[in-house]
Amino acid sequence: MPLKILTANRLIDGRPVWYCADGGWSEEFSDAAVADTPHACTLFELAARQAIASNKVVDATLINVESHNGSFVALRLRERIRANGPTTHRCAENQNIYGEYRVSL
Amino acid sequence: MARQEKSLKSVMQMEKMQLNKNTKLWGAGGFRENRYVRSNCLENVDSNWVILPLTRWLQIVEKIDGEILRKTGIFAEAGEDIKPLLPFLDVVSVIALNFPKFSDGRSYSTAMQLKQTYCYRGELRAVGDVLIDQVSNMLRCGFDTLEVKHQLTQIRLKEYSKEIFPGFYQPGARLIRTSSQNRIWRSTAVR
Amino acid sequence: MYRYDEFDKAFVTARIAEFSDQINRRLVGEITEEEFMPLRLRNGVYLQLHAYMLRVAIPYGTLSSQQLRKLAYIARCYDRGYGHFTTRQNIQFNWPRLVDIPEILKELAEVEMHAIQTSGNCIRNITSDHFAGAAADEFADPRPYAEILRQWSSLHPEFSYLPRKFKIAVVGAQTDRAAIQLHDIGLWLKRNSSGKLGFTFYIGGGQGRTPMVAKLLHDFVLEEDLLSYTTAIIRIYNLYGRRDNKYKARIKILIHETGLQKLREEIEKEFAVLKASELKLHQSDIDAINTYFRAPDLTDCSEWHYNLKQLRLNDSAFGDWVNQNVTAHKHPDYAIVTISLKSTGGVPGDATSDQMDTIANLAEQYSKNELRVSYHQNLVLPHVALGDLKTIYDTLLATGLASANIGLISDVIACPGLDYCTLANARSISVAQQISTRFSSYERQMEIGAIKLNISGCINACGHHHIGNIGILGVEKKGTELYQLTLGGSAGNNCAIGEVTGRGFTADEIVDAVEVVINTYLSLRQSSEESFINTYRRIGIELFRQALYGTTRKIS
Repeated sequence: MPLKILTANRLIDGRPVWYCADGGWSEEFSDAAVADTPHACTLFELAARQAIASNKVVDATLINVESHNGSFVALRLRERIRANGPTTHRCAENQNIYGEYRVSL
Repeated sequence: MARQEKSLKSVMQMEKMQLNKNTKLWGAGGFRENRYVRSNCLENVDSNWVILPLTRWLQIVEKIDGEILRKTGIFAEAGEDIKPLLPFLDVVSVIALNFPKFSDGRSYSTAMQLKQTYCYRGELRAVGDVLIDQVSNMLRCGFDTLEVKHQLTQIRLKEYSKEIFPGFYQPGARLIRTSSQNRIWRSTAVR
Repeated sequence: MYRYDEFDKAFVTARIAEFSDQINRRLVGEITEEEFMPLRLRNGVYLQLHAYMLRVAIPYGTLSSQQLRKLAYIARCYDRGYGHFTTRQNIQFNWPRLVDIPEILKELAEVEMHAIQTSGNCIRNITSDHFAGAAADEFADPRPYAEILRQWSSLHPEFSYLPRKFKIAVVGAQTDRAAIQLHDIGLWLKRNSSGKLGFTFYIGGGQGRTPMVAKLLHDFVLEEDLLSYTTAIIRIYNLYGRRDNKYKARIKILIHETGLQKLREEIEKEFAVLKASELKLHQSDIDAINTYFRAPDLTDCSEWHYNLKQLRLNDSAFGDWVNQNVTAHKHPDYAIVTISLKSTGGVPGDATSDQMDTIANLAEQYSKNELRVSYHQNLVLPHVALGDLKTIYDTLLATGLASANIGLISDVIACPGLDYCTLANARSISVAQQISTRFSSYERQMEIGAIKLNISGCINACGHHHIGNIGILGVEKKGTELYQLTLGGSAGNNCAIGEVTGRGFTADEIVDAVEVVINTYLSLRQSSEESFINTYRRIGIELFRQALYGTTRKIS
């Protein structure tokens, strides 16, 4: 099954956060725990419900990641942008989301 | 404020433990007895005061006794055409308009048509997904009473003695235009 | 411009208190996100990819210098030092915290601004001509009516939970500079043969998934019936608009599915009973609002013309800027200045706090304290003496705001796209940056001439790509960005929806594709006087298609 991580937006400031192995939520994509079994996904879903019920986060979703060169990257461009921030720079050449924004886990 | 938050939180928890069948009727002057029962027909109903679906009501309006008619109200779905009711508005005691979801705003328009355009003088009741954040809109569209299932809304309505806005930019029920040169309407209710 | 009286201030204060209470209730969990979302949307608070986004209303695009300074301050203290001006004449802040929103709203209230109804299924900001009250071709200033509509639509009890958002635009000049035919209701203020003021009503325009040009509903509605007629339309929409499918919920679909004539009958029936109601506008009502929009005192000075001519001759860059960015004013000794927020390689429509302060100072000193926001995402100084143009230009040059590209290809209109927006499928800003870089040469841009290029990052079309002479729509295909090209769209008096060229282009190909389109136009136009859109209308799409997809082209 595809590898998954759990992400959401923090209620108080809307910042993207990722669910970690210690049960907390981090602002760093690289801290995210990876689910590689259906059981792990179920645990993630439970954690999501709890975090929503306790008004910590909103819009919790499982997203697909893949392993690449020894680190994990989100499959969807959207999630890579969420992890790294807007790609807009003064210099138009720095748009390469593949080269510039590989994140390691 | 912290104490209020805490007590609201414990009410929330209590609510989750109970099976909430506790619907209350609210209007000017606060909560009141709801004597109407919703039913699809008049027969076999354990009450004299019945609210029937609009189509059913229209079927029987000319067949039943005036005394019984006085105690028979109408339920209309969101967006249901109320124009067939127009010839009978004088004899209708209560019309209940449904809000299937709070985000479905059709009954606001139906209410305006009944109260503002066609001058319906009976009781206009909002039923369905009635929540505190839409109460002001409902009152201004002409609803006289609200049937409230949502417990936290019931709690908030207990303190609803005064509109927080100084007035509004549109005409509406129980509002009169002020003498200001701007187009402003204020509540006629005594504060 | 309109100034709040005690009632308006109390009203906004009450609204802030109401929303602050709703935020607190949300934070402690008294209301769920599902219940909270429509409430926060009606206060302009979106949740985006990286943070909340606050959309502040700039009523019909009119701002005072004081207000712009406050926006700069908010960007500095509560955000990341910049704001984004939108295609609906509003401003967006991309990084506010939910917990700070009450404070931000209080700051805004101090300068008579708010974020009421800038989102949600309700009546949105009334937009208008960014040259209103100044343009040489104006019949009558539409802004008093925009203000009347704004007030009437604020916290409207009947129209707060419509099937979908509702957008109204109003113009009053010969040229429609607000794209009224792409709005749910488009209003054209004019005089009838007896000289009475009234409105032509268009309904059912819109972009998004199913772009449609608005239909003529009523040729002339009297001034006094503005609100009752509008109420009739929106009431019919509220009752009969679809609520089962969010992509088929706008009034344009209702018209399409019911038929204009049938709807017109329903609207007229409703209007007949509303006409004599409290919604009728009395002359005193209109006079009261008109007092806020009196023309400013402008001194005559014919000498400026000669001086300006000399300055233009001596400084060709200044001359270029005057040619592109300065428009005729109804007063012959004055002009309208458009400040480009489209720098080479920059983000279209963005302004930093420092830039906002600079522009606010210019407005205060040289434009009677007044500014406008155009839906092209630029700022406007509406009342500038010809004698002040050079000073303004020098200031803009020193602060990197002197791009002489208004109406040229690098004056790109682009939505925030996938860099910010949760709805987006592809990035739009990156494409805009590459295009403004590729076409940065002023000579090249002048050679190409007037052209509108619009980019949207998804089908919701916030970049208005359907009405771009060249439109670019970003989509997601197999996990990567793909860009569809449309040609021949236009807003204004000759409104048209663009036509898709064919298969899409990758992020690496799209700018080249635009260049192919431009080169094709340059090679086929009858003369340098024939603009892109006129060439397109003359020759059609086929030759462009051949140039883009012809057999000689390698398909990677």
